[in-house]
Amino acid sequence: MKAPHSGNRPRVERECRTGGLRLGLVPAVLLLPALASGCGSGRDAAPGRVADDFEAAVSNGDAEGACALLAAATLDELEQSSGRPCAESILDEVEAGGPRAGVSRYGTAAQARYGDDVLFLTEGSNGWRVAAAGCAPSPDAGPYDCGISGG
Amino acid sequence: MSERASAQRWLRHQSLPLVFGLLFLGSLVGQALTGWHRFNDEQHAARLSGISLPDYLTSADFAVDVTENWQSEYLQFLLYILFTVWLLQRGSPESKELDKAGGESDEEQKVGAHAEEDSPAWARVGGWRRTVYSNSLGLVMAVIFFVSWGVQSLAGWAAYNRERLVDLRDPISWPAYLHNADFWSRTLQNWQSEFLAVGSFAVLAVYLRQRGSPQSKPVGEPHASTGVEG
Repeated sequence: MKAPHSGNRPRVERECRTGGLRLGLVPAVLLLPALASGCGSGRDAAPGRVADDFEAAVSNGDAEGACALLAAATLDELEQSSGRPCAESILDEVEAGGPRAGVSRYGTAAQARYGDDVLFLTEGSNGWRVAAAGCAPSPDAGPYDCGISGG
Repeated sequence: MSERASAQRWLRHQSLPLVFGLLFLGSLVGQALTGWHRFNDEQHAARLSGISLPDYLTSADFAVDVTENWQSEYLQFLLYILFTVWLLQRGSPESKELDKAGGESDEEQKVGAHAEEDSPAWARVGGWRRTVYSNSLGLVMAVIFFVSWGVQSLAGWAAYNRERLVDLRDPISWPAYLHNADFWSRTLQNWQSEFLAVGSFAVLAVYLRQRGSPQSKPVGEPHASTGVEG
């Protein structure tokens, strides 16, 4: 199953590398100015691209392409809760969120924010995958309420 | 003296930092391996992928676990060095004699005109050089403390935000993290143990002995003797 590519999807804001850097002991000291600056490029690009590809797949109705970008636990959870294969249920649970507003990455976890949607991503042996999608802030400032998640 | 004998003599004369250096390296390797396994265990419990050892060694999680201990150790030494200038404990080998609280005289400290032939150069001169050298131990301890505490704050911020994202919560800013319970819990859990150890040592050494150690009074030294080392 081949994952879709978002092509020339425009970015509204630069990606910020706030804290997503690898922090070794000695390099951590030297990287203080970079961390303090907050924004950069490079390491946040990977989760951002995967998030864009997922949003593009959802926007284009490409259910199989979107399912290919889900983390294994999230795909399992979706199929168990819906009782149907991922490709038959995912578009019922999530909608495209509009232009990307920003990406935050910290180690093996990332968050991509779109106009009406927030994605949470995780990095595994097969790269970045969407761990939760169709997320909206909860009224009590707790965890996001997500249409699909890993459980 | 042969080269071998000279080398053995050098090793014997540097044995204290060498042994502690080896213990430090062994402990750090052990911490790295056990911390890596614990991290991956938590990842798997959250149905997430584990990471390789090299990735763990360059992660914020490892950096914060190391630096939160470093900063507290250097804070302990910094405060102990500074406080023992003025604070006293009757009967403790760790305390100055009861009538010597404070910076002491130039003669007692062997500076300026009272410096000896082999005294350090900045002890013989005056001005800012003598002032800096007179406080160099505390200054270096303070720099190491603040740098490691700063790294702890940044690494802890990144590690905490990773956990928040796994829990489907928004990350927080670094200034917000400095007011967060995670930062202060890590900081204070280390500080309490350091202060307890130093304080209890100063008191225990009044009544207990360790023959041959400069950290102890001589075995037969009276409990009331202050500032005497074995």
